[in-house]
Amino acid sequence: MPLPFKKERDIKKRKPIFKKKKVCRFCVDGANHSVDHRDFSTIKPFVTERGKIIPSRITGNCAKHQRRVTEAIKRSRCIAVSPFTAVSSLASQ
Amino acid sequence: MRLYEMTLIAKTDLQTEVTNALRERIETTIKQFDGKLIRMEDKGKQRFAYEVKKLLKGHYYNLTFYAKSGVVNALEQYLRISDSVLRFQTIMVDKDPNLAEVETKLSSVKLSTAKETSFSQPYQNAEPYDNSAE
Repeated sequence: MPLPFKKERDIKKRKPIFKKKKVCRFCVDGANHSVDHRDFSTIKPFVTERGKIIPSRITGNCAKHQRRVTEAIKRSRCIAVSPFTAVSSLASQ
Repeated sequence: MRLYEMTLIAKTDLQTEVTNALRERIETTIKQFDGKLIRMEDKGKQRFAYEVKKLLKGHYYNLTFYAKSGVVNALEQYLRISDSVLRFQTIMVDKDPNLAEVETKLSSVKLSTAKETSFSQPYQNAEPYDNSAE
């Protein structure tokens, strides 16, 4: 029996799990949320322990703000405010 | 006129004379391009996230200035050869700023804490990233 198309197979396997829709915190409450590349405390929620950038599907950022966050993270890495990788990081942040 | 923000990282063991000379040199360079150094914030010593020229700490300065285009090249040319400056990063904030508005806005901002910056506010409700959710 030929296998169904990959899409159909995956749809059958995946059970619908109700997941709360994440909202972009910048779009909702922009005044209290901002990312400054010179201040690590503003960048910390968007970076893993190893220093990797967290994808927007997890943080809930919209595309526009995710781009700004990424830009700020990359700038902060250049001025040694945030690490490139945790292996090279010496500060206990 | 363009509005710039620069982050300077200097060595920690600099004497005040050296720092003043650096500031004067930056100011004269900016004036050559019909600009003005609005302010130079001293953020103090901060620990690096990784080793920079085999050093672990540096003295951070935030500069805000406006000048004609070309000022960045001239400044960086000097900073690159300077021994006391470890790193620098210049960002153009506004291509065509309203100068009067900029001066009044920045002169009114108090710089009492290190977290206060000219164009952004600190993030207040930080949620830590939870690896277990994945």
